[in-house]
Amino acid sequence: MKNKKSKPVLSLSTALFKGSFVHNPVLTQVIGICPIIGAATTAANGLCLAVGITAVLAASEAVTSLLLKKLPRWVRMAVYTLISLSVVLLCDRFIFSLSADSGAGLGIYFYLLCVNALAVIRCEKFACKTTALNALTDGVAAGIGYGAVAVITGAVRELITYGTLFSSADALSRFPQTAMPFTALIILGFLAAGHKWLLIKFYPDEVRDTFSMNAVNEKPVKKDPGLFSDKNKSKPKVIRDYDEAIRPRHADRESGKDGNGQ
Amino acid sequence: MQNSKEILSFRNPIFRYNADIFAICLALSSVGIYHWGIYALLQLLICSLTAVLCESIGFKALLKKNTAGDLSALTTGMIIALLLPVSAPFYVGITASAFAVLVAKLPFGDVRNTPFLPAAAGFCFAAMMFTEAVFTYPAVGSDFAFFGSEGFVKGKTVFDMLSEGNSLSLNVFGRVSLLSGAYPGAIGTTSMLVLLGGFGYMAVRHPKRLFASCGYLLSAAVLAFLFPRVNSGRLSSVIIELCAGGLIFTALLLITDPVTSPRKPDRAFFYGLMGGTVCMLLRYFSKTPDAACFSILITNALWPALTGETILNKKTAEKYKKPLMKKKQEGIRKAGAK
Amino acid sequence: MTQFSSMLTAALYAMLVQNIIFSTGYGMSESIRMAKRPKHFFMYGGTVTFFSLALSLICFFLNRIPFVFALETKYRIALYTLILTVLYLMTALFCLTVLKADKKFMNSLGMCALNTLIIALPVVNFKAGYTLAETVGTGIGAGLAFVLSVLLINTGMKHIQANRYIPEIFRGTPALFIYISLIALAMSCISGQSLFV
Repeated sequence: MKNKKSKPVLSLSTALFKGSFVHNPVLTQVIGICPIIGAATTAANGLCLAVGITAVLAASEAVTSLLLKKLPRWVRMAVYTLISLSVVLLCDRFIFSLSADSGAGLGIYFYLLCVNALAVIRCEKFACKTTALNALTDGVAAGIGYGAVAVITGAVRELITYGTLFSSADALSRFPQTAMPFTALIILGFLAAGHKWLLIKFYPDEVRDTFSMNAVNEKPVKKDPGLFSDKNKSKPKVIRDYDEAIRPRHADRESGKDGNGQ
Repeated sequence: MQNSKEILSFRNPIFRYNADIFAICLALSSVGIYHWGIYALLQLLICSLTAVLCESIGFKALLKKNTAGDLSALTTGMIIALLLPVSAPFYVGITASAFAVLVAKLPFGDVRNTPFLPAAAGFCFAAMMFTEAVFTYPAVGSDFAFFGSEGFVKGKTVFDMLSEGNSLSLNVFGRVSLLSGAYPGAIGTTSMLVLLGGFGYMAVRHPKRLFASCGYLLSAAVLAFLFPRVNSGRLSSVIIELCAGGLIFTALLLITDPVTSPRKPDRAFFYGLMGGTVCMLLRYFSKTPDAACFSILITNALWPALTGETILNKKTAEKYKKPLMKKKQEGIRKAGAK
Repeated sequence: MTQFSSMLTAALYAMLVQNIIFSTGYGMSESIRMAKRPKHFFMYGGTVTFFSLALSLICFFLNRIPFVFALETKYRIALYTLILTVLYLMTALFCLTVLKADKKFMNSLGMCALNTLIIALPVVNFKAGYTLAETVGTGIGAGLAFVLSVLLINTGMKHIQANRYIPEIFRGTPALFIYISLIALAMSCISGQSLFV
């Protein structure tokens, strides 16, 4: 995609390819994995999470782009929570009807989507710097990427536990331990490896280290310089490219570009 | 990178160490086969074969090298089989061995860089997924059905007696059976005589590695002495706690692992102390019947986090540091030139 | 003394006996993100502990109102979320005006406050029927569990980052997922099954 000074229209195919596949929020950036670990125990539950997160992301990104651009970031974060909460409360009946066990397996994890880090990060990184249509498209794409991982994780766990797919309601649980977090994390690990293999094999230009661990060796400081200071002056960035927007900042630093992708 | 000839050579320290572990495993296996018969041999063969196959295929596919020659996969499979009861269905052993190699070892690239001990991870996974099959031990001399864990007489282990607060003299087996291993338990963890022989062998071949074992056994013994669970005295408590489950087996073969435990003897001793304490705390407070392997996993996670000691071997760490240093120096030079 | 011991037991339970992060996944992505940059480890740990303790306490007293006690789970979570949002805004205002916090700190304050761990904790407390002392214990214990998980995950990241022999397809997030899963496996032995909601 070319850099343009005017606000470009984001096509759904680009968003789907880059937002949900190349930069998959779960597999490459490890964002919002709590509901997948806890609630994606069957394929139906995974589907519920997928629909829920897509609705939450689309609504919060669209509203952010339309109304919240002028607010300071710390206020926006509270508003994202409120928007997500209202979406979750409005559509829970419909979403639970998708699940065979009436959402019982989802527990409280479904409602915890209202504080999902994915919505906050997508809104901050993309939605508050672009048009409502672009934000909506990105929300749907990220939701699909997240949802696909949730459904696959749920399906694998259901196959191991019940030996069924999308019909676990009456089946006998053979391995109840599969509901524990470590199984989900192992599945996510191998899914991430498979995802990376696909990228290396078919889209080698898109392989980037989106989850940088370069700062892990920093030593913790006992007194945080963030408090008791008045250095809060930095200009907001102007967004020009979708790829640039969803790429992490460190990727620019590593490739020698400055913060605005120049 | 090592080629296959270098891997399969006594010059390779990994091969040398694993060969010794393999020798101890063989001795333990022979006692297990003597007590439990052909099924113990089958379990051992199946676990070892699965581990070696997984290592050969997985490492060949991902790293383009076959590291199965260093015997690490073989010993992993054997240790898992020795920790399982003879009545465990074969799929339990296959799952545990495959997990150990494909999940705990392969993603971290090399046997020298695994943060968690693969054999312990494999056994813990099997213990979580098939708790009933892994922690049900048959009575000595009971018959088994082929391909199944049902249809045998369940035996009372030392661990069962501990939880009920009994002492050895009150029960079916005494100290002689404890030495020979003729009592309900896992295939390779029952015979104290062979295990003590294993300690002797290790003391000759790898004396430094035994510092971790000493720490492990010492902390377990002290805690057993201070907080006894049996009504026959503190000394009896120490003996029974040490003989129960796979504690001595763990102290001999798992805590001594040169990759996951520290290399310096003093640090290895403290590592052992930590492992033993975790094991005894798990025994007192957790619901898992035998927590020795879990204690190894928890210590593997906690030790580097609390001490800041790197788990990686020195060469890897240095190789990684060098290019970074070069880059930094270049950056400084460029900045100076400007 | 009894109250203190029950508080300590609850704290140790949430932190060690069944580490709430590894046994349920609450706040997992936040702890991974914080483990990536351990520079502000103490500050973030303290902030999470403050929010978990404050929200647990507020919700404990709110649950004494019969109307709140009888609420359905979804409305209960909605109420807790609203309270947390207000608490977050008040804390943010205090930090901004009195402590003169900079933008970077304000951005991370949202991550520390508005996450799944903080919201789920009062629900867990309510379902378990904890007393005041136990509520305080789980509040502190959840914060400490968060700190412990950040420490453990950070160690794993250091290992993965320094390990050059990791196969290409496992480098980065796949190896990290597996590392965390092995920690979760080790932790899961303590109680056998997940006890938290």
